[in-house]
Amino acid sequence: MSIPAFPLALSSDEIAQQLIELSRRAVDGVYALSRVREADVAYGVTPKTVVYQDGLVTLYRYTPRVEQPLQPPILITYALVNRPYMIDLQQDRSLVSGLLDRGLDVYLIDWGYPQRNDRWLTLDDYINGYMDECVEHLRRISGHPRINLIGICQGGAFSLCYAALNPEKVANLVTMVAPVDFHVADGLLNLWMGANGGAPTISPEMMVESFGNIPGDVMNFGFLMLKPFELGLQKYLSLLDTFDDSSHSANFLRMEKWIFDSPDQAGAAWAEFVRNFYIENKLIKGQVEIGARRVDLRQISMPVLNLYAEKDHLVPPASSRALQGVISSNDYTEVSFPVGHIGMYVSAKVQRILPPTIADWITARMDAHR
Amino acid sequence: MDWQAQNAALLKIWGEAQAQMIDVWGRIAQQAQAPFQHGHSPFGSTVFDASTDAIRQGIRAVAFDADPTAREAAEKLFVSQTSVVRLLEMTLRIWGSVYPVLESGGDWRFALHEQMTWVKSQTLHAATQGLHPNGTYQQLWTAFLHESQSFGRPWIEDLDRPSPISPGAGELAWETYQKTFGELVSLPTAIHTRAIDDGMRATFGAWIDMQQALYQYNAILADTWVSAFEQFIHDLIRLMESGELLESVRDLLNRWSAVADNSFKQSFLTADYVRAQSRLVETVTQYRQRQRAVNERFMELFDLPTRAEVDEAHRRIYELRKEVKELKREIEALRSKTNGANGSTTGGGA
Repeated sequence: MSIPAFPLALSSDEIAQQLIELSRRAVDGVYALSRVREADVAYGVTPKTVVYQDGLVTLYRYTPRVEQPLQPPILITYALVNRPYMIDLQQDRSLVSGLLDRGLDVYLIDWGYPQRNDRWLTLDDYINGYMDECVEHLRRISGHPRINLIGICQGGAFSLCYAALNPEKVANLVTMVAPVDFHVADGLLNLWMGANGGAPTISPEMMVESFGNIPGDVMNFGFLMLKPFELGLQKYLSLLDTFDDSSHSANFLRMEKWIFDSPDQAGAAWAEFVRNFYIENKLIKGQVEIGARRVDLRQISMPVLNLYAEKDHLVPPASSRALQGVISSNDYTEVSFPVGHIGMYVSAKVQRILPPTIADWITARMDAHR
Repeated sequence: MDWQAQNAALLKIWGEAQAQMIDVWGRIAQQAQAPFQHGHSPFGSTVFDASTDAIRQGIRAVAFDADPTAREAAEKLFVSQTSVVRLLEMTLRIWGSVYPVLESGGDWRFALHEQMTWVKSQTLHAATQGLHPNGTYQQLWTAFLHESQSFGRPWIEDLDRPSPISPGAGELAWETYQKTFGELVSLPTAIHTRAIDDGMRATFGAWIDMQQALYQYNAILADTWVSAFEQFIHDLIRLMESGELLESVRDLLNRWSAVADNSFKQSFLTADYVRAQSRLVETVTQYRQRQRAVNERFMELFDLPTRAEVDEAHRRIYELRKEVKELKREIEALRSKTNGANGSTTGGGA
């Protein structure tokens, strides 16, 4: 028996059978998931060592794959809102591994998990403090006056601030899905974080007064609400397709682990970032002050490679591309990828192209600094 | 077979499918040895509802020592299945009420709108159950205290406290005592100070604001949800009229997901939503602050350090650490300068 004119090429019986089959596969999936152990979804596969530590911040060096890695070293700065192991999630999806394969010397700042006593940390502490100390450490141990900087997402905004404040310390700058103009029209996250041209917004100061640090779960909830059905329903239906291959379900679970492993945000720094970057859009206007130092993006005169995702719903392309109009570098390159924000890290196709794109661009400019 | 007979047959098949699906999930529910309900009704999803707790417990039992992410994914896998059932049921029911109008050449858009208006009222009721956006003072105060039981107990006990003497026995004397001296010492009990009383009242005010904000927020979400369904039915009718067919239940769900996400995005971009969300965040933070103020009064009563005091201590430690770091840097710079002037490469001095 068919459902009158319903645009589904199935009879009622067939619909019922498909639902029952979905249930059977889901139950089998639950049993498969019950057999997964922590070691099966290990992430951060590339070997690394701690080279510097200060409080909750750690500087790692990834073990080079050549005897004489290319210099100057590369420092990767990730966002505060998620854990950085996304760029080294698994063997075949690792930006870090791709860069190491091309003979580069790769370091990463791990911002750690802020505790309640860290609620007073400001952007001055993160950028002029921790980031500068890591850069100074690399300058000392490498003997190079300038290092290569890769900033990802919010880490890209931090890297822009750092490079503008310390252009003499940065050889080449790579920004990846980095927001620059926080008031672009096509940004739901921008709108929610207060960039809505005058309408009542959230008060980040009041939230910090109330919460102390902003819980990672609150941030996560906000991100999931941007696409509630794709991320809350469809994703778990797609999970059913992965159980035929344990490596596929392990890939899925690593992503899940990362998505829900959001650190709390140090209160003062979070309020400062939301107020100055999102609500008042001061970065692109040249009005951000980190500590007592004004960030003028025109001080960025070193070569810049700006990477962005064409379908990015978190950092709209226009937000990243606004960088070109505000820096003074005469060696500016833009490269886009046909994926979303997360796809930049986990798309197998992008991971084949992205490391050589970055590596080739940097090495071509390394000779200038030898 | 006419449409009514078709509909009856459809519901019967639907019910039987639900029963089989529950049987499939029953394996897992038994793992928890939890009470498990079996049976089916034409309104199949209610069977799922009745068994949800048992199945969830079963999943937790089965995945007890699994990787935590895998365990949570297993629960979400189950939730996605219940969502599938509900979505499909709702879609078919709405289709079932709209299609006859379409087929007879009637105004199906009007019929759909009428149907969705009813759905909206049901959805709003469900979405805002347990909220208290309005009521008498007594009703709201009681609801607030019950929600705040952890520190509202003395006031709740006062609500339940029987009169110490029965009416009629020395009534005049008792009432005179009560209305003069008695109330001063009995409501609340003596240990609680006026500061806590005032704090509770301020918290109550913040709670009312939060309830109203929650109601408004949920009302918008319910409205958006219903609009998504309306758009989805429009989309299906467009498909039907074009002769295009979806191949599977998964295709139907993928299409629903795309329509729904777009509908929610459009709603989230509106000034009304941004306003409601801002108001909700504002009232929640104010409520938390009022709660904290009361909690801190209690902590003070028991000579325990408050959150504000600990935060202040942390702030001072943070500033001291920065000062020490800066001093260390200056000492190091001076040391380097001194060593450079002396032509020495080793450190030294005090």
